[in-house]
Amino acid sequence: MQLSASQVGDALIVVVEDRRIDAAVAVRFKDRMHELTRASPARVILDLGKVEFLDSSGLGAIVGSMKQIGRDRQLDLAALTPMVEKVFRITRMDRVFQIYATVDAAIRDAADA
Amino acid sequence: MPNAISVATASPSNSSPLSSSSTIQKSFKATFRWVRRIIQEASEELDGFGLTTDEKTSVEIVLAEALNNVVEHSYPEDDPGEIHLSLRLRGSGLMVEIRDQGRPMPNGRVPLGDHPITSDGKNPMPEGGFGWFLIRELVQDLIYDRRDGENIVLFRLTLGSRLKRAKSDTSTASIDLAKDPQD
Repeated sequence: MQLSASQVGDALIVVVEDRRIDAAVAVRFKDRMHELTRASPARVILDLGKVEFLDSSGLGAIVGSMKQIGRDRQLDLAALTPMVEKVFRITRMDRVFQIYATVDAAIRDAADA
Repeated sequence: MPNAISVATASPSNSSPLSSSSTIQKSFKATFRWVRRIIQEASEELDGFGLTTDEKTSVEIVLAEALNNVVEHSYPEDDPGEIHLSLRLRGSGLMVEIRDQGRPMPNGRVPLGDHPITSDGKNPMPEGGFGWFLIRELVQDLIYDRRDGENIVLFRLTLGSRLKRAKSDTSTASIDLAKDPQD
């Protein structure tokens, strides 16, 4: 499971480099997210633009990452592909996360706030 | 790379999408890695079935959930058995059959698949429990049977747009598909 992180302004951008977050890698995804966000700023933006496949284990791992990040910080999602968007929509977890069309839009939103 | 037990595939015929050759059959070891690979293979082979992108996405989602359930709940983790999957294209949609020789489903039935966020607000951020919910949202005619030590799960995915095309003119199905919009 490959994730890369970089800080842009006040946010940590985490890019999922793999094309799938499924049951085979869900635990490693959550562990890696924990490592990367342990000392992160108050806002984390998860760039899902390369992810073409997400199953319920992957969805659970993203929710789990949000819980790890905690209440005093936030995890936002960006660049969902149609497949990933469908899983969030059907499970109604699109209401739990702040979702942006692009990473740039997510960054801009913080700048405007 | 894991070893295949056996993978038998009957490729669909492009010229006749409703013929009996529109069947995909696979047998494989019940591990997450194998499920991933089989879904990718099945997805490529489904290209010949004339599904829309959205329909194919639905198939991939339900296959992932149903097959990963077998991996997680049917067999012991250190001794995975076999899964037999078959996809058949019929006039009423895509018929999916999943068989395994593992433990029976609890209480002899398919889980209700309620949404894991309950109205009492006790679990606002669930990390699990979405699998059967997703399956039930996307399939019709979900059936579970236990016969001769085997679990059999059957369900149907309605493929509306495809059927309309097939009825009007089978030979143009692939041309129509190429124009199918994403949204």
